[in-house]
Amino acid sequence: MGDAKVRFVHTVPGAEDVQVEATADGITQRIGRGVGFGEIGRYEDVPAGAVKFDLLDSDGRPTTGAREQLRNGARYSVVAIRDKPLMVLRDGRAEGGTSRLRVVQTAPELGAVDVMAGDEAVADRIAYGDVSAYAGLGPGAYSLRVTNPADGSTIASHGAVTLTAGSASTAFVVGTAGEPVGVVVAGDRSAAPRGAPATGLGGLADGDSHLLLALLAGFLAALAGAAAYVALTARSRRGGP
Amino acid sequence: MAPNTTRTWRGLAAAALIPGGTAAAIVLLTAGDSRPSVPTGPSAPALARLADLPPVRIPAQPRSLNPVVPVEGRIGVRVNRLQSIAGGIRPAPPGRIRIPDAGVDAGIEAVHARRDAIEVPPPGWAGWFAGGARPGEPGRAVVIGHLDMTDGPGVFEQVPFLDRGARISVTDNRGDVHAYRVVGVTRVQKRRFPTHAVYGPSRHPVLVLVTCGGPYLDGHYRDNVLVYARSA
Repeated sequence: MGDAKVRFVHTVPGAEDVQVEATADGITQRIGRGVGFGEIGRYEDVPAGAVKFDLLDSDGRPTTGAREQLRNGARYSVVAIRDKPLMVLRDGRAEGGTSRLRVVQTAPELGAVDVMAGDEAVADRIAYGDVSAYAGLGPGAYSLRVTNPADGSTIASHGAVTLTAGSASTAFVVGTAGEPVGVVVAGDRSAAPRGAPATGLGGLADGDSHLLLALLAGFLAALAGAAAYVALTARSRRGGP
Repeated sequence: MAPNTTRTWRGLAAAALIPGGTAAAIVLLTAGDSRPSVPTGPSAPALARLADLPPVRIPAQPRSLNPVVPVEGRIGVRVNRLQSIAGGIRPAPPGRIRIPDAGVDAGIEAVHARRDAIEVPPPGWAGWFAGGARPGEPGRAVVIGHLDMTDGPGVFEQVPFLDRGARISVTDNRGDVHAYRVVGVTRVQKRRFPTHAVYGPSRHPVLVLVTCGGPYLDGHYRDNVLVYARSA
Protein backbone atom coordinates (compact mmCIF):
# COMPACT_ATOMS: atom_id res chain seq x y z
CA MET A 1 0.00 0.00 0.00
CA GLY A 2 2.85 2.40 0.80
CA ASP A 3 2.91 5.61 2.77
CA ALA A 4 1.73 9.17 2.45
CA LYS A 5 3.52 12.08 4.08
CA VAL A 6 1.57 14.18 6.56
CA ARG A 7 2.49 17.31 8.50
CA PHE A 8 0.63 19.13 11.22
CA VAL A 9 -0.11 22.86 11.02
CA HIS A 10 -1.19 24.61 14.23
CA THR A 11 -3.21 27.78 13.68
CA VAL A 12 -5.49 27.83 16.74
CA PRO A 13 -4.79 31.00 18.76
CA GLY A 14 -4.44 30.34 22.46
CA ALA A 15 -4.27 26.56 22.17
CA GLU A 16 -1.09 24.98 23.45
CA ASP A 17 0.23 21.44 23.49
CA VAL A 18 -2.20 20.12 20.91
CA GLN A 19 -1.34 17.11 18.78
CA VAL A 20 -2.88 15.05 16.04
CA GLU A 21 -3.49 11.32 16.10
CA ALA A 22 -3.69 9.41 12.83
CA THR A 23 -5.46 6.07 12.95
CA ALA A 24 -5.26 3.59 10.09
CA ASP A 25 -6.24 -0.08 10.25
CA GLY A 26 -6.57 0.14 14.01
CA ILE A 27 -3.05 1.47 14.47
CA THR A 28 -2.71 4.95 15.93
CA GLN A 29 0.28 7.25 15.66
CA ARG A 30 0.83 10.80 16.82
CA ILE A 31 2.16 13.42 14.47
CA GLY A 32 3.29 16.97 15.03
CA ARG A 33 4.82 16.55 18.48
CA GLY A 34 6.00 19.86 19.87
CA VAL A 35 4.37 22.01 17.19
CA GLY A 36 3.13 25.26 18.71
CA PHE A 37 0.82 27.95 17.47
CA GLY A 38 1.89 29.37 14.12
CA GLU A 39 4.26 26.49 13.47
CA ILE A 40 4.39 23.74 10.89
CA GLY A 41 5.65 20.24 11.67
CA ARG A 42 7.85 18.03 9.57
CA TYR A 43 6.37 15.59 7.11
CA GLU A 44 5.88 12.20 8.73
CA ASP A 45 5.02 8.85 7.15
CA VAL A 46 1.44 7.67 7.57
CA PRO A 47 0.13 4.51 5.87
CA ALA A 48 -1.82 5.24 2.70
CA GLY A 49 -5.51 4.38 2.71
CA ALA A 50 -8.43 5.39 4.92
CA VAL A 51 -7.09 7.42 7.83
CA LYS A 52 -8.95 9.07 10.72
CA PHE A 53 -7.35 12.17 12.19
CA ASP A 54 -8.14 13.42 15.69
CA LEU A 55 -6.99 16.68 17.27
CA LEU A 56 -6.05 16.13 20.91
CA ASP A 57 -6.06 18.86 23.52
CA SER A 58 -3.41 19.25 26.19
CA ASP A 59 -5.10 16.52 28.26
CA GLY A 60 -5.01 14.10 25.35
CA ARG A 61 -8.75 14.29 24.70
CA PRO A 62 -9.99 14.40 21.10
CA THR A 63 -11.69 17.72 20.28
CA THR A 64 -12.30 17.50 16.56
CA GLY A 65 -11.30 15.30 13.66
CA ALA A 66 -11.47 14.43 9.99
CA ARG A 67 -11.29 11.42 7.72
CA GLU A 68 -9.30 11.23 4.53
CA GLN A 69 -8.32 8.66 1.94
CA LEU A 70 -4.55 9.11 1.72
CA ARG A 71 -2.81 8.23 -1.51
CA ASN A 72 0.52 6.47 -1.68
CA GLY A 73 3.35 8.97 -2.16
CA ALA A 74 1.11 12.04 -1.76
CA ARG A 75 1.68 14.80 0.78
CA TYR A 76 -0.89 16.34 3.08
CA SER A 77 -1.17 19.19 5.57
CA VAL A 78 -3.48 18.57 8.52
CA VAL A 79 -4.47 22.03 9.71
CA ALA A 80 -5.92 22.68 13.15
CA ILE A 81 -8.18 25.70 12.77
CA ARG A 82 -10.33 27.37 15.41
CA ASP A 83 -14.02 26.35 15.67
CA LYS A 84 -13.84 24.17 12.58
CA PRO A 85 -13.07 20.51 11.88
CA LEU A 86 -9.49 19.59 11.04
CA MET A 87 -8.63 20.57 7.47
CA VAL A 88 -6.80 17.90 5.46
CA LEU A 89 -5.19 19.55 2.45
CA ARG A 90 -3.51 17.72 -0.38
CA ASP A 91 -0.17 19.47 -0.95
CA GLY A 92 0.60 20.26 -4.57
CA ARG A 93 3.32 19.17 -6.90
CA ALA A 94 6.29 21.25 -7.90
CA GLU A 95 6.66 22.17 -11.54
CA GLY A 96 10.07 22.42 -13.11
CA GLY A 97 11.39 25.93 -13.63
CA THR A 98 8.54 27.75 -11.88
CA SER A 99 7.49 28.55 -8.32
CA ARG A 100 4.00 27.85 -7.04
CA LEU A 101 2.35 29.39 -4.00
CA ARG A 102 -1.08 28.99 -2.41
CA VAL A 103 -2.67 30.67 0.59
CA VAL A 104 -4.66 29.27 3.51
CA GLN A 105 -6.57 31.81 5.64
CA THR A 106 -6.67 30.56 9.22
CA ALA A 107 -7.03 33.80 11.23
CA PRO A 108 -10.57 33.57 12.66
CA GLU A 109 -11.30 37.24 13.29
CA LEU A 110 -9.70 38.65 10.17
CA GLY A 111 -12.45 38.11 7.62
CA ALA A 112 -11.74 38.02 3.90
CA VAL A 113 -8.33 39.35 2.85
CA ASP A 114 -6.19 39.72 -0.23
CA VAL A 115 -2.66 38.31 -0.28
CA MET A 116 -0.02 39.81 -2.54
CA ALA A 117 3.40 38.46 -3.49
CA GLY A 118 5.23 41.60 -4.48
CA ASP A 119 2.82 43.23 -6.92
CA GLU A 120 1.07 40.00 -7.88
CA ALA A 121 -2.18 38.87 -6.31
CA VAL A 122 -1.94 35.32 -4.99
CA ALA A 123 -5.30 35.21 -3.20
CA ASP A 124 -8.31 37.45 -3.77
CA ARG A 125 -10.80 37.99 -0.92
CA ILE A 126 -9.90 34.72 0.70
CA ALA A 127 -12.19 34.02 3.66
CA TYR A 128 -11.48 32.30 6.95
CA GLY A 129 -10.99 28.58 6.38
CA ASP A 130 -10.55 28.91 2.62
CA VAL A 131 -7.66 27.67 0.51
CA SER A 132 -6.57 29.37 -2.70
CA ALA A 133 -5.40 27.55 -5.79
CA TYR A 134 -1.66 27.44 -6.39
CA ALA A 135 -0.50 30.52 -8.28
CA GLY A 136 2.49 30.33 -10.58
CA LEU A 137 5.16 32.92 -9.81
CA GLY A 138 8.55 33.62 -11.26
CA PRO A 139 11.37 32.39 -9.01
CA GLY A 140 12.74 35.13 -6.79
CA ALA A 141 12.41 36.97 -3.50
CA TYR A 142 9.00 38.36 -2.62
CA SER A 143 7.43 40.38 0.12
CA LEU A 144 4.14 38.72 1.05
CA ARG A 145 1.44 41.19 2.17
CA VAL A 146 -1.96 40.56 3.68
CA THR A 147 -4.15 43.46 2.68
CA ASN A 148 -7.64 44.73 3.34
CA PRO A 149 -9.75 44.23 0.19
CA ALA A 150 -11.76 47.38 0.96
CA ASP A 151 -8.93 49.88 0.88
CA GLY A 152 -5.78 47.94 0.05
CA SER A 153 -4.14 48.76 3.38
CA THR A 154 -1.53 46.35 4.66
CA ILE A 155 -2.60 44.23 7.62
CA ALA A 156 0.57 42.14 7.89
CA SER A 157 3.52 41.20 5.77
CA HIS A 158 6.21 38.59 5.51
CA GLY A 159 9.40 40.08 4.14
CA ALA A 160 11.80 38.42 1.75
CA VAL A 161 10.30 35.04 1.00
CA THR A 162 12.50 33.25 -1.51
CA LEU A 163 10.56 31.07 -3.90
CA THR A 164 13.02 28.92 -5.82
CA ALA A 165 12.47 27.47 -9.25
CA GLY A 166 10.87 24.04 -9.14
CA SER A 167 9.15 24.47 -5.79
CA ALA A 168 5.61 24.54 -4.40
CA SER A 169 4.86 26.35 -1.14
CA THR A 170 1.95 27.28 1.09
CA ALA A 171 1.47 30.54 3.00
CA PHE A 172 -0.74 30.31 6.08
CA VAL A 173 -2.31 33.54 7.32
CA VAL A 174 -2.41 33.13 11.11
CA GLY A 175 -3.29 35.20 14.14
CA THR A 176 -6.11 37.29 15.71
CA ALA A 177 -7.95 36.22 18.88
CA GLY A 178 -5.11 37.52 20.98
CA GLU A 179 -2.28 36.76 18.57
CA PRO A 180 -0.66 39.16 16.09
CA VAL A 181 -1.49 38.59 12.46
CA GLY A 182 1.35 37.00 10.52
CA VAL A 183 2.16 34.79 7.58
CA VAL A 184 3.91 31.43 7.91
CA VAL A 185 5.37 29.92 4.75
CA ALA A 186 6.33 26.29 4.26
CA GLY A 187 7.70 24.39 1.28
CA ASP A 188 5.44 21.62 -0.02
CA ARG A 189 7.53 19.99 -2.73
CA SER A 190 10.66 20.47 -4.84
CA ALA A 191 11.08 19.26 -8.40
CA ALA A 192 13.65 16.49 -8.45
CA PRO A 193 14.43 13.59 -10.74
CA ARG A 194 14.14 10.08 -9.37
CA GLY A 195 17.30 8.16 -8.66
CA ALA A 196 20.94 9.10 -8.93
CA PRO A 197 22.70 10.43 -12.03
CA ALA A 198 24.54 7.77 -14.07
CA THR A 199 27.58 9.86 -14.96
CA GLY A 200 30.22 7.18 -15.39
CA LEU A 201 30.72 4.60 -18.11
CA GLY A 202 33.80 2.89 -16.69
CA GLY A 203 36.53 4.12 -19.00
CA LEU A 204 38.74 4.99 -16.04
CA ALA A 205 37.74 2.00 -13.94
CA ASP A 206 40.61 -0.47 -13.77
CA GLY A 207 39.38 -3.16 -11.45
CA ASP A 208 39.67 -5.95 -14.07
CA SER A 209 43.18 -5.04 -15.17
CA HIS A 210 44.32 -4.86 -11.55
CA LEU A 211 42.92 -8.33 -10.96
CA LEU A 212 44.81 -9.77 -13.92
CA LEU A 213 47.99 -8.04 -12.78
CA ALA A 214 47.55 -9.44 -9.29
CA LEU A 215 47.02 -12.97 -10.64
CA LEU A 216 50.14 -12.68 -12.79
CA ALA A 217 52.23 -11.37 -9.90
CA GLY A 218 50.93 -14.09 -7.63
CA PHE A 219 51.69 -16.82 -10.18
CA LEU A 220 55.24 -15.59 -10.75
CA ALA A 221 55.89 -15.25 -7.02
CA ALA A 222 54.50 -18.73 -6.40
CA LEU A 223 56.72 -20.15 -9.16
CA ALA A 224 59.77 -18.46 -7.68
CA GLY A 225 58.90 -19.67 -4.19
CA ALA A 226 58.43 -23.25 -5.37
CA ALA A 227 61.73 -23.15 -7.31
CA ALA A 228 63.57 -21.82 -4.28
CA TYR A 229 62.07 -24.55 -2.12
CA VAL A 230 63.11 -27.28 -4.57
CA ALA A 231 66.64 -25.87 -4.83
CA LEU A 232 66.97 -25.58 -1.06
CA THR A 233 65.80 -29.12 -0.36
CA ALA A 234 67.99 -30.54 -3.16
CA ARG A 235 71.08 -28.83 -1.72
CA SER A 236 70.22 -30.17 1.74
CA ARG A 237 69.95 -33.72 0.38
CA ARG A 238 73.30 -33.48 -1.39
CA GLY A 239 74.94 -32.11 1.76
CA GLY A 240 73.33 -34.72 4.06
CA PRO A 241 75.14 -37.68 5.83
CA MET B 1 67.05 -37.64 13.16
CA ALA B 2 65.67 -36.48 9.75
CA PRO B 3 66.79 -33.03 8.56
CA ASN B 4 64.09 -30.37 8.56
CA THR B 5 64.80 -29.59 4.89
CA THR B 6 63.19 -32.80 3.62
CA ARG B 7 61.09 -32.06 0.51
CA THR B 8 57.32 -32.54 1.10
CA TRP B 9 54.26 -31.55 -0.89
CA ARG B 10 53.07 -29.50 2.05
CA GLY B 11 56.34 -27.60 2.13
CA LEU B 12 56.24 -27.06 -1.62
CA ALA B 13 52.68 -25.70 -1.43
CA ALA B 14 53.61 -23.34 1.37
CA ALA B 15 56.69 -22.14 -0.51
CA ALA B 16 54.54 -21.34 -3.53
CA LEU B 17 51.35 -19.99 -1.92
CA ILE B 18 52.87 -17.69 0.68
CA PRO B 19 54.90 -15.51 -1.70
CA GLY B 20 52.24 -15.83 -4.42
CA GLY B 21 49.42 -14.66 -2.19
CA THR B 22 51.53 -11.91 -0.71
CA ALA B 23 52.51 -10.60 -4.15
CA ALA B 24 48.91 -10.66 -5.39
CA ALA B 25 47.68 -8.82 -2.31
CA ILE B 26 50.36 -6.17 -2.63
CA VAL B 27 49.44 -5.56 -6.26
CA LEU B 28 45.73 -5.29 -5.49
CA LEU B 29 46.24 -2.95 -2.56
CA THR B 30 48.70 -0.63 -4.24
CA ALA B 31 47.01 -0.61 -7.64
CA GLY B 32 43.89 0.88 -6.12
CA ASP B 33 45.88 3.97 -5.20
CA SER B 34 46.48 5.01 -8.80
CA ARG B 35 43.35 7.23 -8.53
CA PRO B 36 42.95 8.69 -5.07
CA SER B 37 39.56 7.95 -3.66
CA VAL B 38 37.25 10.71 -2.50
CA PRO B 39 36.47 10.39 1.18
CA THR B 40 32.84 10.15 2.14
CA GLY B 41 33.42 13.41 4.03
CA PRO B 42 30.69 15.49 5.67
CA SER B 43 27.09 14.61 5.00
CA ALA B 44 25.40 16.13 1.98
CA PRO B 45 22.85 18.00 4.14
CA ALA B 46 25.70 19.50 6.20
CA LEU B 47 27.45 20.72 3.06
CA ALA B 48 24.16 22.01 1.68
CA ARG B 49 23.72 24.15 4.80
CA LEU B 50 27.34 25.29 4.65
CA ALA B 51 26.92 26.40 1.05
CA ASP B 52 23.67 28.24 1.75
CA LEU B 53 25.33 31.47 2.85
CA PRO B 54 25.20 35.00 1.52
CA PRO B 55 27.58 35.63 -1.35
CA VAL B 56 31.12 36.52 -0.41
CA ARG B 57 30.58 39.68 -2.43
CA ILE B 58 27.24 41.23 -3.28
CA PRO B 59 26.28 39.85 -6.69
CA ALA B 60 25.11 42.08 -9.47
CA GLN B 61 21.89 40.10 -9.71
CA PRO B 62 19.59 38.87 -8.43
CA ARG B 63 19.51 40.76 -5.14
CA SER B 64 17.57 39.85 -2.09
CA LEU B 65 17.54 41.13 1.45
CA ASN B 66 18.11 38.30 3.90
CA PRO B 67 15.48 36.12 2.30
CA VAL B 68 13.54 33.38 4.00
CA VAL B 69 13.11 30.23 2.00
CA PRO B 70 10.28 27.81 2.62
CA VAL B 71 11.87 24.55 3.68
CA GLU B 72 9.75 21.44 3.27
CA GLY B 73 7.99 20.59 6.47
CA ARG B 74 9.95 23.08 8.49
CA ILE B 75 8.75 25.88 10.65
CA GLY B 76 8.37 29.15 8.84
CA VAL B 77 9.34 32.57 10.10
CA ARG B 78 6.79 35.16 11.11
CA VAL B 79 7.45 38.72 10.21
CA ASN B 80 4.94 41.45 10.96
CA ARG B 81 6.77 44.46 9.65
CA LEU B 82 6.87 45.51 6.05
CA GLN B 83 10.13 45.00 4.22
CA SER B 84 10.91 46.11 0.75
CA ILE B 85 12.74 43.83 -1.61
CA ALA B 86 15.25 44.97 -4.16
CA GLY B 87 14.07 43.18 -7.25
CA GLY B 88 16.34 41.63 -9.84
CA ILE B 89 16.28 40.17 -13.29
CA ARG B 90 16.28 36.40 -13.37
CA PRO B 91 19.58 35.03 -14.71
CA ALA B 92 19.47 33.39 -18.12
CA PRO B 93 19.92 29.61 -18.40
CA PRO B 94 23.58 28.60 -18.07
CA GLY B 95 25.73 28.18 -21.15
CA ARG B 96 29.25 27.37 -20.03
CA ILE B 97 31.08 26.18 -16.93
CA ARG B 98 34.73 26.76 -16.12
CA ILE B 99 36.62 25.12 -13.27
CA PRO B 100 40.33 25.93 -13.69
CA ASP B 101 41.51 23.57 -10.93
CA ALA B 102 39.74 20.63 -12.56
CA GLY B 103 40.57 21.52 -16.17
CA VAL B 104 36.91 22.03 -17.00
CA ASP B 105 35.86 24.44 -19.74
CA ALA B 106 32.69 22.98 -21.16
CA GLY B 107 29.35 23.90 -22.59
CA ILE B 108 26.22 23.28 -20.57
CA GLU B 109 23.14 21.58 -21.94
CA ALA B 110 19.77 21.58 -20.17
CA VAL B 111 18.81 18.12 -18.93
CA HIS B 112 15.45 17.02 -17.62
CA ALA B 113 13.91 14.44 -15.35
CA ARG B 114 12.81 11.24 -17.00
CA ARG B 115 10.64 8.50 -15.55
CA ASP B 116 13.32 6.91 -13.40
CA ALA B 117 16.39 9.14 -13.63
CA ILE B 118 17.82 12.40 -14.84
CA GLU B 119 19.04 12.71 -18.43
CA VAL B 120 22.80 12.77 -18.85
CA PRO B 121 24.58 15.21 -21.15
CA PRO B 122 26.44 14.17 -24.32
CA PRO B 123 30.22 13.59 -24.19
CA GLY B 124 32.19 16.74 -23.48
CA TRP B 125 29.20 18.62 -22.10
CA ALA B 126 27.91 19.31 -18.62
CA GLY B 127 24.19 19.05 -17.92
CA TRP B 128 22.09 21.54 -15.91
CA PHE B 129 18.88 20.30 -14.31
CA ALA B 130 16.39 22.63 -15.98
CA GLY B 131 13.65 21.89 -13.45
CA GLY B 132 15.54 23.64 -10.66
CA ALA B 133 17.24 26.93 -9.99
CA ARG B 134 19.44 28.66 -12.53
CA PRO B 135 23.00 29.50 -11.54
CA GLY B 136 23.07 32.98 -10.06
CA GLU B 137 19.61 32.91 -8.47
CA PRO B 138 18.59 31.70 -5.01
CA GLY B 139 18.24 27.93 -4.95
CA ARG B 140 20.44 24.94 -5.68
CA ALA B 141 21.52 24.86 -9.31
CA VAL B 142 22.52 21.28 -10.13
CA VAL B 143 25.10 20.59 -12.84
CA ILE B 144 26.07 17.01 -13.68
CA GLY B 145 28.97 15.69 -15.73
CA HIS B 146 30.54 12.38 -16.63
CA LEU B 147 33.48 11.10 -14.62
CA ASP B 148 34.46 8.95 -17.57
CA MET B 149 33.22 7.60 -20.85
CA THR B 150 33.75 4.07 -22.17
CA ASP B 151 37.06 4.99 -23.71
CA GLY B 152 38.57 7.57 -21.40
CA PRO B 153 38.00 10.48 -19.03
CA GLY B 154 34.81 12.49 -18.90
CA VAL B 155 34.32 16.22 -18.54
CA PHE B 156 34.18 16.00 -14.71
CA GLU B 157 37.09 13.56 -14.34
CA GLN B 158 38.98 15.86 -11.94
CA VAL B 159 35.94 17.39 -10.24
CA PRO B 160 35.98 14.88 -7.33
CA PHE B 161 39.42 16.14 -6.34
CA LEU B 162 38.53 19.84 -6.04
CA ASP B 163 39.72 21.50 -2.87
CA ARG B 164 37.72 23.79 -0.67
CA GLY B 165 37.92 27.32 -2.03
CA ALA B 166 38.35 26.26 -5.67
CA ARG B 167 36.79 28.69 -8.10
CA ILE B 168 33.91 27.81 -10.41
CA SER B 169 32.32 30.18 -12.88
CA VAL B 170 29.16 29.69 -14.86
CA THR B 171 28.42 31.96 -17.80
CA ASP B 172 24.77 32.26 -18.67
CA ASN B 173 23.27 32.70 -22.09
CA ARG B 174 23.19 36.49 -21.67
CA GLY B 175 26.92 36.51 -20.98
CA ASP B 176 26.66 37.20 -17.25
CA VAL B 177 29.18 35.32 -15.14
CA HIS B 178 28.14 33.72 -11.84
CA ALA B 179 31.06 32.90 -9.57
CA TYR B 180 31.18 30.22 -6.91
CA ARG B 181 33.69 28.86 -4.40
CA VAL B 182 33.77 25.20 -3.37
CA VAL B 183 32.81 24.63 0.27
CA GLY B 184 33.15 20.86 0.32
CA VAL B 185 33.12 17.52 -1.47
CA THR B 186 31.40 14.35 -0.37
CA ARG B 187 30.71 10.87 -1.72
CA VAL B 188 27.38 9.12 -1.32
CA GLN B 189 26.10 5.72 -2.36
CA LYS B 190 23.68 5.98 -5.27
CA ARG B 191 21.15 3.78 -3.54
CA ARG B 192 21.02 6.37 -0.74
CA PHE B 193 21.11 9.43 -2.98
CA PRO B 194 20.23 12.50 -0.84
CA THR B 195 17.60 13.93 -3.18
CA HIS B 196 16.46 16.73 -0.89
CA ALA B 197 20.01 17.85 -0.07
CA VAL B 198 20.77 18.08 -3.79
CA TYR B 199 17.56 19.39 -5.34
CA GLY B 200 15.85 21.02 -2.33
CA PRO B 201 15.50 24.79 -1.85
CA SER B 202 18.09 27.17 -0.45
CA ARG B 203 18.05 30.82 0.55
CA HIS B 204 21.05 31.84 -1.51
CA PRO B 205 22.59 30.79 -4.82
CA VAL B 206 24.22 27.37 -4.40
CA LEU B 207 25.87 25.27 -7.07
CA VAL B 208 25.92 21.48 -6.76
CA LEU B 209 28.15 19.50 -9.11
CA VAL B 210 27.37 15.80 -9.44
CA THR B 211 29.48 13.07 -10.98
CA CYS B 212 30.26 9.41 -10.33
CA GLY B 213 32.79 7.88 -7.97
CA GLY B 214 33.66 4.96 -5.77
CA PRO B 215 34.20 1.40 -6.97
CA TYR B 216 33.07 0.32 -10.43
CA LEU B 217 30.93 -2.78 -9.95
CA ASP B 218 28.90 -4.70 -12.52
CA GLY B 219 29.15 -1.97 -15.10
CA HIS B 220 28.22 0.91 -12.79
CA TYR B 221 29.90 3.21 -10.33
CA ARG B 222 28.53 2.54 -6.89
CA ASP B 223 28.65 6.15 -5.71
CA ASN B 224 28.07 9.75 -6.67
CA VAL B 225 30.45 12.53 -5.77
CA LEU B 226 28.78 15.82 -4.78
CA VAL B 227 30.58 19.16 -4.82
CA TYR B 228 28.85 22.04 -3.04
CA ALA B 229 29.80 25.61 -3.87
CA ARG B 230 28.53 28.92 -2.54
CA SER B 231 28.11 32.13 -4.43
CA ALA B 232 31.27 34.20 -4.45
